[in-house]
Amino acid sequence: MKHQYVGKTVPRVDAVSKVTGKARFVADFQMPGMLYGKVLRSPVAHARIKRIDTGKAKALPGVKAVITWEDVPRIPYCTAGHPYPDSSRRDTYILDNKVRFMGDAVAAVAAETREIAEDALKLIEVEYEELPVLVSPEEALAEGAVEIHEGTKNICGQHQFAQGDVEAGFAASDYVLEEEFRTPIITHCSLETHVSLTYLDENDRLVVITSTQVPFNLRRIMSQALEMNMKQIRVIKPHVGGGFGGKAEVVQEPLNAVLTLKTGKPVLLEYTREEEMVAGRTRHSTVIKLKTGVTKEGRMLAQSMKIISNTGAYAGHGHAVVYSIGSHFAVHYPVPHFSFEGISVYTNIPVASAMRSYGASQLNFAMESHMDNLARKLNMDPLEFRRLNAIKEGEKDPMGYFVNNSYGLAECLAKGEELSNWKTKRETFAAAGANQKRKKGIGMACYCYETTAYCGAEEMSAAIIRMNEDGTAVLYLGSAEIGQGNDTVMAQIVAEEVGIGLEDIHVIGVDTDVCPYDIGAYASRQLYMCGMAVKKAAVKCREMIVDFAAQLFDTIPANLEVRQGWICDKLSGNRLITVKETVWKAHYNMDRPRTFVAEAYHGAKCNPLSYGAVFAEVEVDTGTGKVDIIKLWSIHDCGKVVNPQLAEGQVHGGVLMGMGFGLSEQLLIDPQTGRTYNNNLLDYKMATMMDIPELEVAFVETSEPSGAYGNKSLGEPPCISVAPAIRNAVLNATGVEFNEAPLTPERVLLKLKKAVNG
Amino acid sequence: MKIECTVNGQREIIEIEPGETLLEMLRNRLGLTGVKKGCEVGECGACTVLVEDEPVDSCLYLAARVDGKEILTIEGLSQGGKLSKLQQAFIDEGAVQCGFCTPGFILSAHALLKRHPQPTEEEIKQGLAGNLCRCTGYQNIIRAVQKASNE
Repeated sequence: MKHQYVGKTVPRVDAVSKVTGKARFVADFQMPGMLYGKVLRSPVAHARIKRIDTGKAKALPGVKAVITWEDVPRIPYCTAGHPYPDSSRRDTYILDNKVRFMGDAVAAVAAETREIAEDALKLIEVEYEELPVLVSPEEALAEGAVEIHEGTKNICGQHQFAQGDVEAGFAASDYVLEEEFRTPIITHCSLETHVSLTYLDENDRLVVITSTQVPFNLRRIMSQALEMNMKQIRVIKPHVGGGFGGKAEVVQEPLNAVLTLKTGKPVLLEYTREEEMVAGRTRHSTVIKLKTGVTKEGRMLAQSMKIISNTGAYAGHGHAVVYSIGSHFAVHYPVPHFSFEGISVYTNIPVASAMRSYGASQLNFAMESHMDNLARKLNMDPLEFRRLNAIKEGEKDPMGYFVNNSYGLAECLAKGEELSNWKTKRETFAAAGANQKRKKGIGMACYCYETTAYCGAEEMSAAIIRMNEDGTAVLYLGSAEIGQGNDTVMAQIVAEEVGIGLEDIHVIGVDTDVCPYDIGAYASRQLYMCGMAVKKAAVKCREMIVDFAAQLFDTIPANLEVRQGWICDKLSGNRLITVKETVWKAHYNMDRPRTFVAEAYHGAKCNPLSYGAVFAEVEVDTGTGKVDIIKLWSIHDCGKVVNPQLAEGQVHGGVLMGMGFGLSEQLLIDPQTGRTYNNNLLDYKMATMMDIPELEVAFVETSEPSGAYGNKSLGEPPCISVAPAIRNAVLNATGVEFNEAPLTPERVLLKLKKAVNG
Repeated sequence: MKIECTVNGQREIIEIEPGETLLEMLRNRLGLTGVKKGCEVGECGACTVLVEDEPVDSCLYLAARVDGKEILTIEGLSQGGKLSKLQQAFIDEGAVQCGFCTPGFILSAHALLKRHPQPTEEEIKQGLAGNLCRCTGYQNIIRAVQKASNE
């Protein structure tokens, strides 16, 4: 079917407001009498609070409230922004009598100015009873280690599963390789930090304007943490300055709310960049052991994986991330015998939680590095080795989590091979000789990745379309625009199905008072889930309008159809009346007045896999250890592309985030004190414009039968395979296996020297 | 203290605190919230505005220093409701995602194009290296600046 809007690049619906500076983010909402909130942060990584004296702070003129753990409800809640039931542990209090990482919240102040609030923090006297600081999972799991959360033994979660007989599989293999991989702590670096503004409306309801990916889950969790019913809370998500998973969580909002409830005043609570990088969220660092048995022909027979994930001081999304890693582990390279063991460990470091790809980046770095190491030992081309073992068209997920009804992996590999000129470069780079100071290499990696959170969590989206009297429309969304283009693609769907122009649609998202329930922006679910809900609502809307037009023309709806904004006679194709005029006539109608409001929801019970591959060409300076990327090729099967420019934009950003994970980004923590060394954007090395590589993006368009237009996930996947592709290119260039990311010049140089000197 | 300056073509007389930054003055006193606060220490460039056509991090720039000077913020870039070439190019090339870094980028690019009407790709990268973006991977921002420079 030919579409007018779907599949086309159209300008973002929020583009004009964003290029003119009119787009409003949380901190842009100023309110009369607004107070400024500030949080006192712990100077030690692990301690009981013996005493807090807030007397001097309270006495400072301009201070309106100082709160400690004694002033907040003693209700533990789960901060992960997932639907009920909680997917992670209820281990967080709004404020507690214990601090668990350096930077943990101790107390909070609301004052007339930010400066007064900052001064007041300095006047709060706290006496700490320091406890042993546990930075690594090894320390936290050691016999007799102090418990960071009582009764947990510092285990946030653990699970295991197996199929077949993995030991028998190893025994039957010609060759078995066992290796360990390590991935760093990285962090989201949204340009807008965590920020919220709370106030009481004229009915004393709590209004929360916040930079969030999950407005409805946030409302539920706040209602639990504050013991308020949902009618008493209104959550508004304005424009959000980047999320990447870091805002799929309830971070500062309950504390913000308490400051408002205590003072009765609007309070803005805005994290500084330094706070953000310590008290925001991070990606879990992991240690991953992979063991694989293969035949001499290169066929994988058995595989086991053991992962230790460092979740930091609080669970956040915690072990749900390791569940996701486990679910992806078994499906990428299905083998007859496999086993998985995962554990998430509490430590005294900043909280690790959801971040773009939800564990798949860590898994993929380990797995795809391991695949190249295996291929090397087998003397096989790594691309051919993957082709032999990767999931095939129609092949079922052995664990049954995912469906494989639209399969583009093989084509992604073929496209990458062709675009990168893989075969020639593998040969010529290898033949270039070992004595060159700058060594060239080409490598690749591939992935398969979920679309939704099903069946780890409920999957539900909804949409409401209300036609205005003149035939323009308002689209109410519960799904969250956070920069990815959500509101634009949803408007495209309404324009397509209702038969009005894109410029005729105003999107409202998200205000929990008026928008329908949606679980929000995580996984890469919104276009797949909410897109289907919007399509259903739009089709309903169109049918109601056509029904009314049929009455106007004294015919039956089956004889009519909508084409390019016109209601036409199906047989002759004659244009009868525009959609807009029909809507007008229905509203201003003496005999049969009516409105057109359509609501639809979509609950999915399947989770389609998207696929993709990254090819990387690099040059390694063996004198400095610096890895220069000559070019990257990023190829994705996300089903049908609904807006090519937005899709490409997701890939551009994801690739750079993946490159940071592979080459430069890591949050560094002092192993003794738990202090974060580089919680700023100078010392934490995310890419600037000077660092970007040449990049070629390509799509392999399969058609996913369960997607509204054949579409499946794309938001997260582009960041997944970049780091291992670069790492494998470095292996190709130098012959050295780097099993720990990031490949900083220091790490590369040290290992190259070691390889030379033995 | 009182200062006098021109903001987006309008003469302003403003009462400021001696320690106040230009960022605070523009956002809090003049309501120009298109000036974004990303780090407040000069790392991210989200607060970029032009002082006498030169891009500055307004978070590091004392408001007192703009006495007698001309300031351009994102709000002053479009003339008579018409977008500038650069603003339009940012839309056309998909250089906008979350939009938080966008005002700073557009102003840095605006200053760059005044200095170099036809910048090379390398000059664009150097000119905009002080502005961070986590969404776009910078690719389409470069295309947008190239497009605006070719028009």
